[in-house]
Amino acid sequence: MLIVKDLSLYFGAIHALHGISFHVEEGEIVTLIGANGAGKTSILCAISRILPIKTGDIIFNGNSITNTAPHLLPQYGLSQVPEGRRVFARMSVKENLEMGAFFRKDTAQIRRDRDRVYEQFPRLKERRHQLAGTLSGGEQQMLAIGRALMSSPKLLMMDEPSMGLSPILVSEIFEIIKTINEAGTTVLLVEQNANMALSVSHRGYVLETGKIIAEGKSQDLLNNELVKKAYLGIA
Amino acid sequence: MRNRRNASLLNFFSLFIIFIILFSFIRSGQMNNYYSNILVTVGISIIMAVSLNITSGLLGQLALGHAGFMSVGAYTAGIITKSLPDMPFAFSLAIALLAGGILAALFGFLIGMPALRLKGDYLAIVTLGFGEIIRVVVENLNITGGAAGLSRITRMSRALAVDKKMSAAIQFGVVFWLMVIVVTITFTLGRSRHGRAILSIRENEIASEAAGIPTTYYKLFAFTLGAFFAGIAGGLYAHQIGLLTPRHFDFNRSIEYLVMVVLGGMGSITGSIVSSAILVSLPEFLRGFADWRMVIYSLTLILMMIFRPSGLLGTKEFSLSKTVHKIQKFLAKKFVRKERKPKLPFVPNYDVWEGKPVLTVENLGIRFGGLVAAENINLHVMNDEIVGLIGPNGAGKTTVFNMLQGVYVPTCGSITLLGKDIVGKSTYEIASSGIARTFQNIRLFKSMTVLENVKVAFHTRMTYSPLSGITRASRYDSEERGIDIRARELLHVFDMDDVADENAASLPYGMQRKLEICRALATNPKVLLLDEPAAGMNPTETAELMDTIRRIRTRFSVAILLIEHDMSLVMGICERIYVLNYGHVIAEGTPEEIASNEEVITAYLGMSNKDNKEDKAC
Amino acid sequence: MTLFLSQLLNGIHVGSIYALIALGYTMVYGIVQLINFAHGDILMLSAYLVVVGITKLGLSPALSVLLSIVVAVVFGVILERVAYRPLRSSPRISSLITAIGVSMLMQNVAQLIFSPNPIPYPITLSVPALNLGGLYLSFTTILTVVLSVGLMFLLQIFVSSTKAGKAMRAVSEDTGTALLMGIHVNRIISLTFAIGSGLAAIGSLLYCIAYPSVAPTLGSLPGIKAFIAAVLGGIGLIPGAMLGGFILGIAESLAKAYISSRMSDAIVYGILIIVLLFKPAGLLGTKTREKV
Repeated sequence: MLIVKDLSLYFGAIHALHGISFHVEEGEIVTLIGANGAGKTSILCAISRILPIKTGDIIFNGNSITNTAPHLLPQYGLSQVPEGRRVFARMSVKENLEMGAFFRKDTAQIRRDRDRVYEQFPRLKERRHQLAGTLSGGEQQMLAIGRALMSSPKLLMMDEPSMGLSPILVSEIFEIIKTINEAGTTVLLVEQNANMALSVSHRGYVLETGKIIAEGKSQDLLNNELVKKAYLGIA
Repeated sequence: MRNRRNASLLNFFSLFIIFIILFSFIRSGQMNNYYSNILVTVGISIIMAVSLNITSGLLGQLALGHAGFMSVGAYTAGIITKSLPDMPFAFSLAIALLAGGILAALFGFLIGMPALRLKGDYLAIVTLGFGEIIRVVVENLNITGGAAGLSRITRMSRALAVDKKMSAAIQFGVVFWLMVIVVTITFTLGRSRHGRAILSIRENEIASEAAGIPTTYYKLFAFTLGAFFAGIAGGLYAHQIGLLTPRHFDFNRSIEYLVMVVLGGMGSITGSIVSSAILVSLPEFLRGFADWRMVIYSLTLILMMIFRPSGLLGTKEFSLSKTVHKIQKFLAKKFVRKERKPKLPFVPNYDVWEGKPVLTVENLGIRFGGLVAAENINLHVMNDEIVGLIGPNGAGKTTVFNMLQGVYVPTCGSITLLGKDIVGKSTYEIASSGIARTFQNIRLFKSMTVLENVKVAFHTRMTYSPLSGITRASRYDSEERGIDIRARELLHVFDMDDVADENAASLPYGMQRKLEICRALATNPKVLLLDEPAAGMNPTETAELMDTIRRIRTRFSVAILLIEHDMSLVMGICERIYVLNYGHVIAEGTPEEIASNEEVITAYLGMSNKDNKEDKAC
Repeated sequence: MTLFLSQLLNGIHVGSIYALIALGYTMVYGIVQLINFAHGDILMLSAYLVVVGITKLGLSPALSVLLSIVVAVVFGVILERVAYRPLRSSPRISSLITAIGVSMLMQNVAQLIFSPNPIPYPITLSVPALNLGGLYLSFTTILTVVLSVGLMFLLQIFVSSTKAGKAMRAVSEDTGTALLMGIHVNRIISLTFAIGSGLAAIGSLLYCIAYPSVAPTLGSLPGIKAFIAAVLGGIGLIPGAMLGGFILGIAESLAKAYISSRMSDAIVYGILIIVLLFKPAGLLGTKTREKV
């Protein structure tokens, strides 16, 4: 579904990505893990076309999106849950979800999708008229995910959903990710929390300072020494 | 020193030649009043543009009410000469100009104090407001003649000599030399440590404060100085035109000078001179297009911003002496002269702190509104230790650094540096007390050279006054040479000698990091805080960095506290590590202890899945 | 007492005009962080268009006003596209200076075309005022306040209930994330300028009915005042612009009556400065921290 070839990227003066290549098949959960500063967020920003690409190609469902304008991507079925949630704090939960479906015109289906989000996240339904800025961190994360789901994506990209959340919430969020995937959405997950990410995903790639140093089935990576080294610096 | 002396002589000589030529033209009547008037207007505009450039270009704060200071100076000077009709004009004029300048400076100070607390757009609005307030008040005071204005002010072109042509020539002379003085002061001040301080505020206020610069003081200083010069220009204007109305000093006036500064390049004094000369004289010679003048002005402004926002000269300065110097070098002729001994910057004498921690943090905590960002933080750093501070994203590490440096004020707890409590002190005071810091996103003074970046950090250890800097007195000279030596020494430690004169922005990323560390060391700290120094570095650069840090610790005898995500670095050089999570310290120990600590592993690698645990059991 | 009430009414009258114009400033600042100095000059542009429409093109007043609104809207959109959009990634000071340049350009071109001398505004209302026990309530006042408040009300509904309006709020808050939602950010920005300019054009009509003299500098003073109103209330916030407009209008009116007519401008600025020093983000605003 998604193919990234030889992606290179500069973030200011930093050469953040050095010729990355990876792919995501339909129906999978693929995860990109690595320490901070390894370049994970840059990849998602590049795919979402928010950051300019130095060299490389991004192909989504057979079409090259390397030069597409960013606001068109949700229409193609590519949505992102940004790092740090980035909910519209001065808008209500309901309005945030509406924004997620902005480009869609099929009102009936939008309403059905919204109800499905409320089903999945009952806490959001309770607070649907509350301003998003007043929600707790976990609730905001759920809102951000729900908002991205409102665009009815084929591929959902998530940027560090566990950041700043307590362990219990982290488990909850990852359960939700599994459920979303089982319902048919392909997921590309960028995470700092390697264990959690690898335990829900099918395949994974390990990043270190802008390069992929390991890849394979998540189960294999879980016990991989390289992963341990990338995180704790011990052999 | 020899070079500088030669440069000054050369500049003065060329100016003198120009002056003599123009003076004689006017004196002899070969240049009539119309043209000599233009010259005078150019001179006054140059003073105004340069004065505005001090605030908006050098300091980098856009101020929109500059004409207000001009009007204060103009009215004050006019009123004074009018009330001293029996004094010889030359004397009353001198008093008037000085008084005008001082009063304008006072206004600048009073306005600057509240206004400079605001940033960017708000500062622009408030200065605009003050400019308008001055105008309205002037319009309504009796002493200024109200809306009708102040008339029959003695004109320099009539009263400076008996012969009208001589008087006009002297008028030119007064304006010319005052302009030269203003420009010279601005130039020399700019090159002194005070100018460096001001520029550093423009480049990066937070880093400037962290390097020990008292930013509020310098902002006020620059603002007041700009107002002073504007006041003098106003006084000259009053005695050129002979008539003042409040209408002369409205918002449009402020804009005219802003255009000159912007066109020439904000921060370039030479640019201001060139653009003022062009913008004043050109319309005069295009009298036929007078109606179109303002249209062309505005179009120029717009097009400039879209296509060449840095102005004609950007921040560059033209140096006559540099050109000549190159020629001189070519015709090299050596002669030895006795040079004054350089005065090395004072090295603060820290007591030897063996056995006692140089930095102690007790029960430190801070909350933002209802959110507890950090709580019950206890840590200490011994003399010469390298201590790591690690933890997942959002754990509160940078918050701790910000509290150590005075950027945030903790809501509870204490921070003791070298035995003294530093909570509540401002950042620049803390910097001078012995804590230096580098930042997560590198904060260099981008348009200054590598050497200048380091020199800024020597600021608090130098003592020469602005006056000394302007007159290039001996103290200025010896101290500057002293820090030049020290700064180059520092660069040498980091193998950056050959890039000393490059612009900081042009360095590769790894070197920019090194420069930031180098600059931090220039304040001679006892504790060095490094915030993610290895961010964005590849393994080779990281290994180099580790080496550098070790060298620093040995050579500079400084304790290092560093935040890092790169575990190879942390485990490789830290002697002790604190682990933060959710704003609390969850572990402390040696690298080995930390690496095998269950809680730490959980915090970093995340909660283990049930299945995973079962696998491990097998 | 009657003096106080009539001045209060005056203040509400002029305040509602300021509020209408302030909305344009605040919406633009909220969405692209630009102080559009040229906004006030839209007042002047619309006024001259009405003049030209009635005196030169022989159109009816209603049609001329409509023309002025349409042209103002188109002008606002083109201005954004040509002068401001190229500078979106430049430092703020560049946009500020460009905006100042545009304002000057407009005024000076108008001066070239129409001469600097004021000409009378061709639309007047001559309906007798209501006399409420000594207090005179003119029809103009009623019309102005009703129309302004009505438009503000409509704007508020637009922003809170329509898709485009909500998109405007989203873009104002977080342009990057709005892009991720598939919102066509450039179009929303153009829409913002369009609405602001349209409101300014209507504000021009109301202003000129009250002060029927048209000159190239027409927009300067009310423009600056409306801008101050926006900042006073909290720039970037629509309720702030409305609040600021009314407060400013009333303060100005009362100052003129009780302190000094000639100093009222200075007093207005003074109020702004004092507010900013205590509440740097305006009355309704919240301060944002720079990330260290």
